[in-house]
Amino acid sequence: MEWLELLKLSFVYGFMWRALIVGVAVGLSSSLIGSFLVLNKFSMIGHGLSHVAFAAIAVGLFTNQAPLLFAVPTVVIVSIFILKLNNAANLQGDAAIGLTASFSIALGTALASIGDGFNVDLFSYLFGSILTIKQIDVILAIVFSFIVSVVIWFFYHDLFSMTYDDEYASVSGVKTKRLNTLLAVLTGLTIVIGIRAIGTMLISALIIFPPIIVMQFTRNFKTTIFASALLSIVLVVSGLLSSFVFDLPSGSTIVLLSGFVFFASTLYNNVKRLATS
Amino acid sequence: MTQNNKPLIRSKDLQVNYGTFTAIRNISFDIDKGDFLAVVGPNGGGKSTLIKTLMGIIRPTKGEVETESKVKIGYVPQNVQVRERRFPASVEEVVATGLLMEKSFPKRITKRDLERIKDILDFLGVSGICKKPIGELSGGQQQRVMLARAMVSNPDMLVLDEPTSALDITMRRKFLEMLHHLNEAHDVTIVLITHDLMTASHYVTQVVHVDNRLLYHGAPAKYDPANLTIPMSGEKESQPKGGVVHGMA
Repeated sequence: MEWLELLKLSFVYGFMWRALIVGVAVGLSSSLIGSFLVLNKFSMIGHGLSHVAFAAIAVGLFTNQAPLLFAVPTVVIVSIFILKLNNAANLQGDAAIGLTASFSIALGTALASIGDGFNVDLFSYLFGSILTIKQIDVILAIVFSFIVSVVIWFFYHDLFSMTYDDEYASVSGVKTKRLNTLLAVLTGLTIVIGIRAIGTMLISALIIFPPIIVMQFTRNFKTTIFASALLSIVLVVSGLLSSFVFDLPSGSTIVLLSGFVFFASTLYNNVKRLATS
Repeated sequence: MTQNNKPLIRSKDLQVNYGTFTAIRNISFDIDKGDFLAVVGPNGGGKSTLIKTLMGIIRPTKGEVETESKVKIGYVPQNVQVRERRFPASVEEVVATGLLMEKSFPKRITKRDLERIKDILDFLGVSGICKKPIGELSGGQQQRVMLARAMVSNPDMLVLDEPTSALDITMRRKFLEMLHHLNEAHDVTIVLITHDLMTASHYVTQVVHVDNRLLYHGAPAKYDPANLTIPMSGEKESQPKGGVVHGMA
C-alpha cells in the first residue's frame, strides 16, 4: 500500500524525527497544563497567547530577529500582563484575553502587510510545518517541556487544590495569585514550543482536546493528567505521521484528528449512557 | 479562651467595600477558644464577607484582624454542590487538599495521610467512598466530605458557611449534633453561618447578628431578632434587648 510505504519512508528523514521529538514535548506540556486550565475555565488564555505569539513572530520576522527567541520573552511577559490587566482594569471574565488577542492579530497582520517578503514564512508559523523544524526548536522544546513537567510535579497538589476550590486553597495557605501567574507563564512556554509543529492558530486546541476527551471517562484527577498526557502524545505523533503521508499541514491534521476522537468519544459515551439508563 | 486569655481571632473596626458598596462596617468582636458561634443576618447583610475577612480571604478596606499565630482553621465553603458534577476528582483527592496547610515544599501526600483521610471519613460516617468521584455523591455525603477536608488537619477552629442549606431537617440536626460533639468532646471552636438559628440554637454558645453592621453579639438565650433595629446612616446603634453591640459596649 502506498501510504504504508510513505509511513516507513517518513522515519528515514531527519526533519520527521525532529518533528516527532517536538511533538512529544509539546503534547506532554500542553496536556499537563491543559487539565488545570480547562477545569479552571481558563483555557482561553492558551488561545489568547497563541495570538500574541503570532504577533511576536511577525515582529521577529519584520526586524530580522530569530522569531521564536523573540516570541519566548514576549509571550511570557504578556501572559503576566493579561492577569494584571484583568485586576487593574477591573475587567470581567476573559475580556483581557480577548483584548490582547485581537490587538496582537491586528499588529501581526499589519506587519505582514508592510513586510510582504515574509508572508510565506508566516504561513508556516500559523499552521505548523514539520519541514521548518530546526535543531534549535528541538532543544527549546525539550528544555521547556522539562521545565513545565518539573514545575507541575512540584506544585501538583497546590494546583489541584486551587483548581478544585480556589477559596479553600487560599485559606490553606496556597498562594493562588502566584500559581495563576505560574500557570499563565507555563502556558506561554508551551505555546512557543508548539508553534513550529502545530502553528500559532491551532496550538491552543492541544491544550483543550486531550483533557476534555479523557475527562469523559476518568474518575480521579491523577488518572486524568496521565491519560491526558498519553492521549496528547498519541494524537500529536499520529497527526504528524498522517500529515506527512497525506501531505497536509501538520497542525491542521493533529487538530482534525483530535476533533474526530472527541466527537467519537462523546458519541460513545452518550450511547453508553442511553443504553444503561 | 487560650491559655494566655487571648482570643483566637480579634476583629477591630472592620470595613469592607466592594467599589462604592460597603458590605460591612465598624465590626469589632472576638472569637474565643471553645466558642460555638452562629453568625446570622439577612441575605446580603455581609455574613460571608465578614467570615472571609476574618480568615484572610478578603482584605479589609479599614480595620484589622488579629489571628492567634498558631491557630489552624478548617473551612467549609458555601454551595459546595454547585461545583461541576463531572469534575474528575476522587473523594480522597479532595480531602487531601485539607492537609496542604501543614505540608512544606514540595508538598506530597503520604500513605499515612491516606490513612488519616480514611479515618476521618469513617468518623464522619461516610466509609468506603475514598475512591468515588466527588460528583457522584449525594448532597449529604458531599457535605460530609467538605467537613472531612476541613477536619483532616485537626484544626483548632472550623468555619462553616451555610453548610446545612442543602440538607433536609433530619440531616440538618444530625450535622449540627456532629458539630456539637466536635465542640464539646474535641474542643474545636465552631463558627457557623446559618439561616436556621431555630435548629442551631440548641447547640450554639454565641450568636452574632450582622446586617452590614454588628447588631448583636451574645448568648442565644438573650437573642431576640424582633428587637434589633437597623440604624440609619450616621445614627448611633441602639442597644438590642439583652445583648451587646460590640464596638459600642
